[in-house]
Amino acid sequence: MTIELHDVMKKVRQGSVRLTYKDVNMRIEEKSRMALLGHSSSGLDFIVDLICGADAPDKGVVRRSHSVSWAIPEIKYVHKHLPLVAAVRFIARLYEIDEKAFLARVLEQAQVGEVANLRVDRCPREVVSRLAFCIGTSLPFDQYILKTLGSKEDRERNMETVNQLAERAGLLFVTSDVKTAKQFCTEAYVFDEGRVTYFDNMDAAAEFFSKAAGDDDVEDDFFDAEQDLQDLVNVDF
Amino acid sequence: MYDAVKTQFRVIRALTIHQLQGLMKSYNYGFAWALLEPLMFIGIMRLARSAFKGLTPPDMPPSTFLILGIIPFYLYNAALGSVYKSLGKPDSMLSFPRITPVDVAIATAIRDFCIYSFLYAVFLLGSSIYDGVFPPKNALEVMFAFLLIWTLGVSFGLVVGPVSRVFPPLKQFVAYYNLLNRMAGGMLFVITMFPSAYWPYFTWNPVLHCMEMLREGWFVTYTSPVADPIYVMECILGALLIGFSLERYQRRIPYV
Repeated sequence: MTIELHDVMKKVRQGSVRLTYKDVNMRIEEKSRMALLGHSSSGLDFIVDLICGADAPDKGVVRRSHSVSWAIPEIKYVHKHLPLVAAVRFIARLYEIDEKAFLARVLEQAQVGEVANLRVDRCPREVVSRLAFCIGTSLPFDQYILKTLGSKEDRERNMETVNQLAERAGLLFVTSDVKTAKQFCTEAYVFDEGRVTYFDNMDAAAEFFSKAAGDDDVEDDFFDAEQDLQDLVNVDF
Repeated sequence: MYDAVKTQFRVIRALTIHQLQGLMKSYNYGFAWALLEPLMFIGIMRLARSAFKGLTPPDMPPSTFLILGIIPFYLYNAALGSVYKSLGKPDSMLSFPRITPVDVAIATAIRDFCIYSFLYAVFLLGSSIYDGVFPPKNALEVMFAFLLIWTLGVSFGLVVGPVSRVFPPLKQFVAYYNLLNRMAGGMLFVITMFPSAYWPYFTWNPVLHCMEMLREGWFVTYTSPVADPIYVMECILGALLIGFSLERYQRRIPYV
């Protein structure tokens, strides 16, 4: 049970970002704890699309032999004019599970209370994000694709959830946050300027990733090092 | 195999409900659209009635005649457009690994069918009772023709969608085709309004056959000399075969 990319070529065209990944060969084993490290300009979302089957490679083959989640906590499917619970029901219908039981489980895990019945555009953003995280992690996949662990308040609880998931399933952590990735992952692929490099050691991956980083990335590292500083900067005045 | 088909049906069902729920997103008052849109439509129809009174056949009341043609034609256009857009452009739903572009296309087409069949039933019932042409001569023929024209739109969308994925300017040609169909598809006329020498220039079009069947099925006073459901079904089968083959092949090609 693996996810494999064989000799894949993918052109990334996203605004000013124009690069091409050539001859990409990746193998993600069942129950592996893999990090995909890349900055916003690395076109990592395009690689995630290939893994999820949302897009096809320009060349090469992508094979999936086990079930994969979407990039959690993705919220593109959430209708903003409907209550939060509508999104939970949609996922329950999509994955053929009992709506009532799933709704109860997700609401209990997310602890959003009555807010779940509010229109999404009137809900606090953290609540939507927390619920989206819980929706994804409440389903039984063989491999979970995670992009973030949520806000500072949810981080600890979500980390616990991820640790529980890792006991029975694989993790694919898609991020530029090396510090968090090191807590969960044992191996990594680093994506940089059209090159993909594999590391079976997270320290080596982190070192390589830091070296590959440009000026922008130094700023990222600065924030990554101090979560409190990052939260301070994100405050709405 | 059976499980896979069952799963696909459930995915399409979930997507269709999601699509229908998404209809009201641009309205602050939720279901207000359900009242506003038909009201606007009634206004337009009243205007159309006065404008086209002299142009519709004398033995068929103009309102019912127009409703019989316009709503199915819009359904055809909507089904074609939504299927080809779903297949031609990346959809945010595709980030779910169990959803394929065909699922999204079919779900959007079913959404259109739900909207237009509801409108059709409401307006046709009201108009035909008002005009004194209720009940229809053959309700089954009307329903069958309505279903055929939707299926025709879906099947043509399946052909156009995969091509537009590698050749986006195709949408311009689709717009021209729609314009041609608007003129020659029988939305505003029946074939007997033209001399029989011109009929071969119209009967190549399967949309016209559906329109003829709709009028023939409703009005006691009209029997179409050209309506051929077999021809429409042949077109649908051919388009579905080409469309699904192209879609299958295009899955390996990235979005432009």
